[in-house]
Amino acid sequence: MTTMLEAKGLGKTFATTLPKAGRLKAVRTLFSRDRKIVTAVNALDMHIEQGEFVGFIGPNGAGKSTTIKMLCGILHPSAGEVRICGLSPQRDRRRVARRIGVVFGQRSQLWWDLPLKDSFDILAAMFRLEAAAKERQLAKLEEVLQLRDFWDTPVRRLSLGQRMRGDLAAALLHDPELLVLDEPTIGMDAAAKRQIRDHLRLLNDQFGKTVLLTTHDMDDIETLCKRVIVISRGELLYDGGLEKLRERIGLPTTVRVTYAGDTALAPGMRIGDGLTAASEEICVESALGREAAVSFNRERIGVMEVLRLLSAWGDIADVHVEEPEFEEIVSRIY
Amino acid sequence: MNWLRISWLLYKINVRARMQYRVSFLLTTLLASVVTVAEFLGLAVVLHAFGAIRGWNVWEIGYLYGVLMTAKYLYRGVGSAVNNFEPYLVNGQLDQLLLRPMPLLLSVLTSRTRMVGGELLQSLTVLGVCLGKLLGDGTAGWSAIPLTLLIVCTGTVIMFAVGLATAAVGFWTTRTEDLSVLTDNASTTASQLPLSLFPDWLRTLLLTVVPFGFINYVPAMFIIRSEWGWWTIPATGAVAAMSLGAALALWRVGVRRYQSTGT
Repeated sequence: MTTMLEAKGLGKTFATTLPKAGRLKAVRTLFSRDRKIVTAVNALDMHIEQGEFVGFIGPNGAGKSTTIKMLCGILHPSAGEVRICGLSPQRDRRRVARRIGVVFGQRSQLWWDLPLKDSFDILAAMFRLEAAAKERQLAKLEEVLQLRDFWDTPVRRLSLGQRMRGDLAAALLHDPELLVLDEPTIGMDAAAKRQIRDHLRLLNDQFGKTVLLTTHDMDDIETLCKRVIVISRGELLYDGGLEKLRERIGLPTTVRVTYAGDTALAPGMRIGDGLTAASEEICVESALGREAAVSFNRERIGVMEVLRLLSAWGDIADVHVEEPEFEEIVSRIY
Repeated sequence: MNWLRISWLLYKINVRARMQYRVSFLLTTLLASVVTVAEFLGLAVVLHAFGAIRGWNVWEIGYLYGVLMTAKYLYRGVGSAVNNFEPYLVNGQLDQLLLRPMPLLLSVLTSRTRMVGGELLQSLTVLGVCLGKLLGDGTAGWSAIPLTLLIVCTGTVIMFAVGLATAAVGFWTTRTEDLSVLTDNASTTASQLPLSLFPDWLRTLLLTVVPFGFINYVPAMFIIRSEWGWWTIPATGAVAAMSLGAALALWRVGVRRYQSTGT
């Protein structure tokens, strides 16, 4: 196995000058000493082998995008260093650019006003691909991404899913070894998401691309990644198999019930009947008037069992089961 | 060179993308084609009324104007992206450019195109007419022609250097529009007239911090006025080279500080 990506003690702090308002604000901001230091990423280590499919997750503002941008050479780290295929993305930015393909879900690198195919012509020239090599690569990508249907459509008129396929193809045109994807399924409907996931799996399985994927979509992670790296507040929380993370987290679930009459439940109570140990883990999160919410680990106790226990506190009129957002769970656990 | 070919390709692509919005494209071109001449006619009318300003006649001032505007539009044609750099920092547009296997500055310059044919034609007309008149009068010798071409080039370099330095300051401040009003618009307007008209502090500023005085006034003092010696020409070249060097250095330091934007 060869190492594709390696980061050691990676850190990034931003010194933001508090902007001045009013006349000549740019000049005054420049000479202003009002600074705030924000640590976005702190002492992060990362090691990815060739052929891996790694999910990179964490709550909003955890430093995912900052990390990704340091890995790609867009930002310069304040501490530590990165190696992609043995090269520093900062010192050897242009050489690293040839070996990685990067897609930002929120931004397109395609030429907005021109037909999709034109973007490939430009990128091919930029990456100095011969015409034959470009055609070969496009034919290969066509198998996975099916672009021909909207080949001649100006990019601005493509659907979100089509545009993402275009962007993936653009990032893969120069046949990079490592693919870095920042929220590639953002804003898509379920069908488009599923399609993009299928494409990504193929790219990893059949083309042997190493993939680093950040996403807020837990389904993306579950269907694609064998390994996940979790960060929060710029620091590493977990790095390992998805299975193990799941074991640690369990299946946290919240049940909201509405009783026919006012309930005697109070926040912080445990509502077990003493017969099973697991029932002791049911915790009342909130209770007010006729409504109450309890949380528990669905891996250890079933919803029906919880409802049975809850019904001992009154007649249940309505029930609502919720699975909290993954990021929320992660940040709660750690 | 290969990068030149790719730059040309990107230039054509930008033009084609622009053409997608035909009406807007035509309007901009039409407007641009009258602005420069109209501006100079305004200046000429004022000059005509006064005859001359402190010993500078209409043709001499027209020469200063022509050199300045030709340099300005050559710079705008090449460095439109540098001239409007703020969005690259504010919207994080620079991210995408940093992912290209091209030298960053070249990526930036080729990411945006402004067609300046109309403006250039007008500036060159003003310059050509005024220089022709000065040659006819015998005020200037024939060597004025190659020297003028030379200072148009050094002038473009000075314009570009100041624009690049202004853009690079954006890596610290993010916002650069205010600063560019000072370094670009105000300085250009001031340099349309002979520096000798201005108070000392402004003259010093235009010869040091924003060395637009070296675009037209300093070399013109030799080329068409013969008041100063030949040394003005190498001095102009040296100022252009130093400005460019300093701006590139500032840019390089700035890129390391690029903060991008959150998502």
